[in-house]
Amino acid sequence: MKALLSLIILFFFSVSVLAQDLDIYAKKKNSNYELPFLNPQTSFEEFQILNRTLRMQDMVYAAIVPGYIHFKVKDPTLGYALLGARTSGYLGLYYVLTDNSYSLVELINNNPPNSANSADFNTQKNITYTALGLIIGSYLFDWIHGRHRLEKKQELIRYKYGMKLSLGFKPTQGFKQQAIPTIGLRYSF
Amino acid sequence: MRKLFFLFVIFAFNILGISQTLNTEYHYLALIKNQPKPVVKDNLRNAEMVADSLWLLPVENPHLAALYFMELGNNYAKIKQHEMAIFSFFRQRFFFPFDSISIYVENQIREQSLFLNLDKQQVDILLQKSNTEVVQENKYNALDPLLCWIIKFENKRIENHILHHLELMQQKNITPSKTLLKWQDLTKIGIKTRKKRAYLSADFNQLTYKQQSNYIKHLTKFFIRHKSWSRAKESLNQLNKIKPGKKYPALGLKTRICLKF
Repeated sequence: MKALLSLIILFFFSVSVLAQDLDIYAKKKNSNYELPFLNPQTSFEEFQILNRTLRMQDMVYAAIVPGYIHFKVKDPTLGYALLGARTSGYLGLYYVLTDNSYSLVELINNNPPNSANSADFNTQKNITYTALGLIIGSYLFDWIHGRHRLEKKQELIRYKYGMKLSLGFKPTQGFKQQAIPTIGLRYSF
Repeated sequence: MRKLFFLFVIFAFNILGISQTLNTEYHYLALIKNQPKPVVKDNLRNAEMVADSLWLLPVENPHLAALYFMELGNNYAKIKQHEMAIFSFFRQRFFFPFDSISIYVENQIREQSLFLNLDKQQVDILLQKSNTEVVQENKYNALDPLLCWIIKFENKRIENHILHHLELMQQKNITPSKTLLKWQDLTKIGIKTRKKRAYLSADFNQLTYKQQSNYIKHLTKFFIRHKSWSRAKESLNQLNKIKPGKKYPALGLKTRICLKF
């Protein structure tokens, strides 16, 4: 009984690991050979957007590459803006660290040393806060807004081609239907 | 076992009959024109593909094609691309003229022309030229006069579409008129929209020195962009011929040609 309980618990945890989907997700080796059913009007960019999903690993990539999510969802203008924002954040931190007048902990905690010039300390503190705000803010914006953009773009594409497919079956309203009879076979198991 | 096998075959094979027609595209345009702008905008690339095929290929139902261009114009009007809305309405009038649709479209054209600050007289002339009694029956021949009129609007945002339609004409082995070919050259080398009028209305020799040198500089830049260094050098030499004796004309361009960048 104990062994069974342990097995169930183990199984439960293994499922939650898969759900986390950090890098361990089931992918058939030959799934890249599966050819999708596409509307003839679909552009390559639309196809790419439909194919893309955001996973936990993208969250890690976005922490390393500024604007990664926006580049992935084909929104390069905002991606470059985020790249600029994050770079200026890093430059601000670089300035504070190379100046070496105060430690980062002192600046973040707003705890100036006794010998500190208060005006200079405040300036460096403001730079630190702004830099950290830019770095963290650009990362969160990249992730949250990027996800929103991807979902919106995918919805638009799915709506467009889904609706056209449905309208293809719609009975004609006074017009001569120029239907091209085609038959498709889908084999699945 | 046999029954199971048949059941498997029935469930495994899904028979799908799809008929994507002009009718579908027309209904989709009519459906989305009252929906949010991103939905309308997202479909325009597809809609233009259908519009191209309506001109390029024979159409079985011209009435539906006319309605399609009308709805396409309405879609452009919805997202405030007024110049493209007018172009679509005129495409209907020139390619698939139908009295009832053309009258509706005429009102729409007058409304859209207000947003573009178009001259009323110019719009009136164009409407007269595209009347159902006047317009040519053959849609292939109708594109040339339509484009000739549209370039007179001097709108930058429509230039790429005109260039695209000129390519379609060449694809169909139709030679565009001289004005259109000249306009195509001027656009490709990057002459500003407002300045094209002067180049189109006169021969090169009749232009002022400033206009001539401007043309040659743009032409040289065009060759530089395409890394055609010898042609760029040739065109730049023409500057000396226009006004010989002028020291260091277009020194920057000369340097770019010498350094090949």
